[in-house]
Amino acid sequence: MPLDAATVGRELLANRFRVMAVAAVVVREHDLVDDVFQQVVVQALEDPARYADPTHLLRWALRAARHRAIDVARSRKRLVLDDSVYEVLASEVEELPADEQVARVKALRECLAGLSPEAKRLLAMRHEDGLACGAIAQKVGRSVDAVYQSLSRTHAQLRKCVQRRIERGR
Amino acid sequence: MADEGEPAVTECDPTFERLLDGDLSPAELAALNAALAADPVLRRAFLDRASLGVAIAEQLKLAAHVEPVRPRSTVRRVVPWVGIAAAVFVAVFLFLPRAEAVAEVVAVEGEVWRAGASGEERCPAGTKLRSGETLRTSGPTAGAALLYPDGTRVALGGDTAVTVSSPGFKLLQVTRGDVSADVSPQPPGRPMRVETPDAVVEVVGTQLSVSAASGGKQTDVGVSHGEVRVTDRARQDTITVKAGEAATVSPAARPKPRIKSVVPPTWAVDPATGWQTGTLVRMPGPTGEEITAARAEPVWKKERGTAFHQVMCHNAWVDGLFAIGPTTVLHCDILTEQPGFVQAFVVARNAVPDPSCWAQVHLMDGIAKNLSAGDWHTLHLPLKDFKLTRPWTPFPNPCAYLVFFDTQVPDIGLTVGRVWVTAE
Repeated sequence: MPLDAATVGRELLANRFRVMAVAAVVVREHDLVDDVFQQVVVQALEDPARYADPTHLLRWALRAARHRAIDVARSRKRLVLDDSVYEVLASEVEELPADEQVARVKALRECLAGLSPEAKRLLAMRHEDGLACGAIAQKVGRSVDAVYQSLSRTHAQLRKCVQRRIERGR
Repeated sequence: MADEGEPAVTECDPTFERLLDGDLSPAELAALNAALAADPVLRRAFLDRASLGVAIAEQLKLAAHVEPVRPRSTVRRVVPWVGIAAAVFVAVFLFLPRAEAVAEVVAVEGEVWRAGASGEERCPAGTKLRSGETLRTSGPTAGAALLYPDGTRVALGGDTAVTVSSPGFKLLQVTRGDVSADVSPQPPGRPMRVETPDAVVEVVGTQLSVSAASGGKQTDVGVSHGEVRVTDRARQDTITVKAGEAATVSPAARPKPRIKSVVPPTWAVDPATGWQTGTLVRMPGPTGEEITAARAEPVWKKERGTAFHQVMCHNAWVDGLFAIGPTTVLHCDILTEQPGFVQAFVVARNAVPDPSCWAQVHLMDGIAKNLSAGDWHTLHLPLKDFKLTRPWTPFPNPCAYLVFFDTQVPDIGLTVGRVWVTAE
């Protein structure tokens, strides 16, 4: 049965993190990722009846988000991966667990609280302000490589922390 | 993974950050393409990193949305949210049937947030909560009070989160923290349910308090009037708890009712097991003998973009720590490694938990600011010299349920040894 607008809105909200993750693989700035998601929602609501079921809608949304994000990156003259790689990544996003989203966000909030002020500052500049690592390096007076390494370590630390908490809560 | 000779890419490699910055050389990009095409583990790591980035940004944005901690560009940040909000509005508010208001938030203190379909936002008094919405208090001194249409009142203590709904009966899900409820008589066969991760409490009409430890390891239930049925979720045991009784639901033992003892006028913290926040250390105490003490640990305050350093005792919302009288004195042994500012807090509720006035906070500022650093000091702090942070009429019979010590940034190495209370 074709979907109605209410179901389309609800399904896209429920899968918001997955759709945004597809865009976030391509573009760094969260505002641009937000824009991509917003455009996908608006486009989906223009003709909700074209989606046969929630799976159809999600596949379309992931594809639409990927194409829009690549367009954004190219318009900014950014290097991007092969489209075939993004396609595989987008298809694998469907396998990310959707039912653990609330638990993951809660776990992340707790894990963020345990970070050092310096790590939090780097994360805020990277994810909230959308700065490139070069710009962050200038601000904090460190080398670009050091910033890359610090961010990567912090992300890995957070990923493990979230995973541990999720597993403990199961 | 990558072929021999190509740069290897591992989970913690900064390659992904460099890709997003457009900082890879064509050769590195080609190597990354090949590695990603060949290695599902690496693809999963990339996806996890991307999901994590989205979630981090959302969390940071949420924290700064209401009370920005630093100047920000409003245009870029507001427009996408307005757009998404518009799209969500179309979906949620125009096409979905609107949920009925279940209860009204009639009073708030400190940081109180409401979370619903459109995200989390600051919750002022007067807000009507709809079915499925969550009310959260942030910080040990925050609080809120809910009023249901039938007159049932629920009070939330600090660091508490509840979700309200009405699937044919009143359902209050307590994720963590402390609530007290004065429940009006409920329709036959449809008792109000208060659920925690450990327990289900069914209430026909009574006055009770419930405390759910963070992480779902223990739930305490106390009853002031009437009686409730308490079910241990794990064991599927149900017991009845009557007025003047309390019960604890935890993995340690089967729940059974116990008589709530009168809250004593004196108290002392157990230095080894009495602290919920603080790192235990062994060190020479005020007399030179080795003692167990609690060193303050950082507690992140996202709304302020900074961390306090804190030592906090276990919460005794249901049973109480000590009764507060005109001669109550809080004594403590404290040491700071550097000169600095320390506050002492005593959080109290009415002897009978009252949902219309759930807690009062006694605060004494600067208890360590003029003390020499590096030495132990024994302080004697009369409760009458503390100030009340809420301009309420003092409770007739206040009963302390939480004591903590807080410092400001930076960490000055606050360490707390003995803490005890006397009524002289």
